Amino acid sequence: MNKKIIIGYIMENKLIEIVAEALEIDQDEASNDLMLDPEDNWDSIAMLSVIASIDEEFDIQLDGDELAACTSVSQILNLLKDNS
Amino acid sequence: MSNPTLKSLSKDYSVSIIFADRPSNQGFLVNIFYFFEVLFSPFASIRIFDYRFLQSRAIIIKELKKANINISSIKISISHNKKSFIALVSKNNINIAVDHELSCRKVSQSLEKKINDEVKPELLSTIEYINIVETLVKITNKGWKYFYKHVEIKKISNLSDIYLTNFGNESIYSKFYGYNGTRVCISSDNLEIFK
Repeated sequence: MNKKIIIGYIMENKLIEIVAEALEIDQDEASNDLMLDPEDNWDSIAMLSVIASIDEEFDIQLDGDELAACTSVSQILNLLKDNS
Repeated sequence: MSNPTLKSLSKDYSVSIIFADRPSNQGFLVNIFYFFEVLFSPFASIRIFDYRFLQSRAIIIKELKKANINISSIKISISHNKKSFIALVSKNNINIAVDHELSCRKVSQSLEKKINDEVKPELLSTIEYINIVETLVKITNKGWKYFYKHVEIKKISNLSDIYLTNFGNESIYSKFYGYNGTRVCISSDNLEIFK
């Protein structure tokens, strides 16, 4: 398997774990397709949590405005890939 | 907190606060009523299609009408969480902002560590630090990056429950209130409001 694909797979799984923790939901409920709802629990504290965890895990500093524009986990993943 | 409540916060009635639950989607007819109420008000904005925006503004308009407060002569700062919202209503010349969060709200370990290690004074919890910075962002329109690591938050020694943040030539005072399972942070450049 290609090294890039493996890194992408690991990154995706870790990101799902990070988002689940930030949204205070079970990891089983989170997936790449999970929609981020500002009406529900995708608020500023959840976003700050994701920024801090991504910084710690991947040493990538995401921009808050770019993260706020994401409406799904897959969009965060794309943002991560663009910044890595 | 089943019904919206409007209370005066300052002795001179220059600042009032509205607490309200965020009921789940209230049905088509109520939403249509909300829509037109907000559309023909100073709150009209493209965010009218965002249900949280629409719901809170419609409730605020209703409460202000009941209290005979003219919406065009005031400033409003709003904070939402999952279950409720708070609106701070003040005279146009007062710089003031509100942020609130459920007292039981958890913060991820990474965020807790980052804020504890890098910026947070010992006297504040992580959520309280975030609450203060959120209000500073609202008052000044400067982003998180401006305040994060660049300001010092101190407790005022003779006013034990008031915090002071200095940046540039500006001083902002913050005070916390507890209400119905939430922690409410109010910040302003006018210390008199808190006395």
